[in-house]
Amino acid sequence: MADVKEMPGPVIDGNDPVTGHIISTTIGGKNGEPKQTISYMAERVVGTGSFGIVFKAKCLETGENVAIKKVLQDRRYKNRELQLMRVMDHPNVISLKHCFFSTTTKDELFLNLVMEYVPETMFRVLKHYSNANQRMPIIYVKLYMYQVFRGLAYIHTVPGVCHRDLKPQNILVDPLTHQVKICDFGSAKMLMKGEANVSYICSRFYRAPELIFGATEYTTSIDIWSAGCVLAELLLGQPLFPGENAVDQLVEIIKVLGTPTREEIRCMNPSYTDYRFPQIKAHPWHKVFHKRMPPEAIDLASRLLQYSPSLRCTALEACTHPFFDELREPNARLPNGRPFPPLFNFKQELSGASPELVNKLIPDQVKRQMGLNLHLAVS
Amino acid sequence: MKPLFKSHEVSDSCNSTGRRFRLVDIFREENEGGDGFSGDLGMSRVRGLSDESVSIDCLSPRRIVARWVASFRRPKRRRALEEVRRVKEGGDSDGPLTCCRCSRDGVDGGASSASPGVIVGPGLSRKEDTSFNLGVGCSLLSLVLASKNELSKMVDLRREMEHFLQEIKEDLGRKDNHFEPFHSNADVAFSSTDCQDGPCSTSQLSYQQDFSSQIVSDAQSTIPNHSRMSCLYEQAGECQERIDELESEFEAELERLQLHLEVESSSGRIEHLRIKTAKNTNSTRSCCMSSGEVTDLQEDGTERQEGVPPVELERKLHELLEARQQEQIKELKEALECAKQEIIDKESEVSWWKETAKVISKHIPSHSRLRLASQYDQLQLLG
Repeated sequence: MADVKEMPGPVIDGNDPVTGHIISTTIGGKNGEPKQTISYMAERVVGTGSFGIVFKAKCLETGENVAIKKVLQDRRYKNRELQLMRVMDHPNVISLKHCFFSTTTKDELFLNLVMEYVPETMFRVLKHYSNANQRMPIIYVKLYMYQVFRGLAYIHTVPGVCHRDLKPQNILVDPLTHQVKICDFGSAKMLMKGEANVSYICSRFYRAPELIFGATEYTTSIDIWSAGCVLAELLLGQPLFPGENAVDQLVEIIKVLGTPTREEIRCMNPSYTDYRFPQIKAHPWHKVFHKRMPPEAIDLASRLLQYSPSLRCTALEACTHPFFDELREPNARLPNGRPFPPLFNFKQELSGASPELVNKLIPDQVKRQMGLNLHLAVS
Repeated sequence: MKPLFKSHEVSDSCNSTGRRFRLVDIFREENEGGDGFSGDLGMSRVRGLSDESVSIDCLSPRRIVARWVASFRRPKRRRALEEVRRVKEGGDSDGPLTCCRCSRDGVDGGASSASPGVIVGPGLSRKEDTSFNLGVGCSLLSLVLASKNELSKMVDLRREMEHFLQEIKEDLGRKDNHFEPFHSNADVAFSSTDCQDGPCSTSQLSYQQDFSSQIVSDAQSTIPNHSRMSCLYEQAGECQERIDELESEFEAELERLQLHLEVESSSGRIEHLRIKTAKNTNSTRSCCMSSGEVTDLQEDGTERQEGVPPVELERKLHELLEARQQEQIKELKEALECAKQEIIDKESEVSWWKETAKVISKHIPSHSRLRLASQYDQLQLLG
């Protein structure tokens, strides 16, 4: 990370201050590394928000596409997203390539996170299917959700981070390889046991009930709930719990899961146990989805969407669920005949897992291959 | 019966005034209708002593004093009247008096048994009585005059005391409710410097000191020392006016605060905030982004971290339950309608069969019916 100059380039779109700008930055120069200048040509804005903007850019030196997230930086603090992104290294998590600071004429400091560029989001893929009045083929649901769980298993166990804003918009999909990457760690945080955290995180449709109940001591299981909501949305073609506000959100959940029991409420937020809520009967899971829905899909959804955070399965357990067995079959391939993106190249995330779990996770053919590789490596 | 009624009234009024008897009342009554009063008394004397006895029965101090005053005012007339009576009646002058008194006693019963003794006294030694009355009346009058002054002073004092107490109360109330100092700054600094002595100066002093200490603590306001001192002696009227003004302001502020609190307690604001963040977590994110790494501003615990308002959730769930039950009722009603329709269909079918049966039975000839009957009988016998 070093100096940066923003040079106004040819303006392609007059309304867009980003488009056409060339950003040059120098990297290296430390520890005897040679200094290297990298220039990015800003192409178009791909995302905006109160956090700042994300724009697609092309590295002029390598021709590689990148996504640059430009956020206003408070000089007093370090950027948490940057700190977390630096330690992330997983095929299902967006990777940081580079970062630099830039200033404006108003003396505002901006942090630019240069990340790999993935053209589609799960949100857009879903929209594509719903526009065509179709459901996403179940094989893609399996493939995408498996990768989401694999990514979650990594961020939950290795850096110990909770994403806190998992939703279709933050799940990137490569339309060619069908590789999935979790992005946007702007809300992510390393959760410490016994430490209170804010409950007003996560987008409404994907918020775990304990967050709606205002719990401050939650765990990474809030991401599991969100993933459950995403799974249900992929299966249904629309959000499972479309609440108009926080109370409505909880009502939508109760419509499906029924009124939580006193014990379940205690698990979410003990301060609500004094209230006696009207008893709403749970809607049977099989009635939530259409008739031809595979029972494994329903089973997985029911295991993810549990009131008690501790009863929700972990990301790694979700990966071993029978719903994903099809992906582990020896000759499983994409519908177009191409191979799946890498699904079994686990690293540190298996360190704490039980042998049965590891055994289930890695298919026999992969084990054999690994054994061969190991054998080759030994010999 | 009329005089009895009258005497009763008088005694009643005497008792009622006797309870809250004030010297100033006597004085006022005398001043206002002195002539009428004495005239009335004179008339009762002219009419006869029986009336006088009634008035004496009450023994009201006001009456006594009035009598004394009356006797002091017109001794000549009375003396002449008595002389005329003495000449006319001679030695029998006591006769009708006692007779009259007896009749009165008869009506009154034993209630006023002490009255004759009281009456007899003045009747016997009228001359000494008059001079005694005169003396006592004079002294009383002077006393009354003296006490009138005292009373008016007391009334004033009381008014002042009330005012003083009111101010103290207000002052205390103000101290309890940490008054905002910024309002007072200008007012206090430019207040008039008139000196005020009196009962409310103490409270004013403390009140002003309270303000001025706050002002001093306020780094931005620089009030000269002498003006601060002068503020301590503000005019009472102005102070009261300002107190009223500030009080109304304070009340308005309190009301606003209460409203604010109510809104917050119903979680409207918090909820709104949450909805906003939930709708677009970007805002949360931005804060994380901009405010950085170890502690972002939203996580310092200053904001209330409450979940959904349970009452609202309960209400919504009741609504949901009601909606579901309504739906169930509708479904059941529809099922009932279907069942009813089915019954009607079946009934019409049954009636059609009946009709058919009747028609058929009519068409079957009677001999064949008889034959059928005999066949049936044979079968039964065999069985």
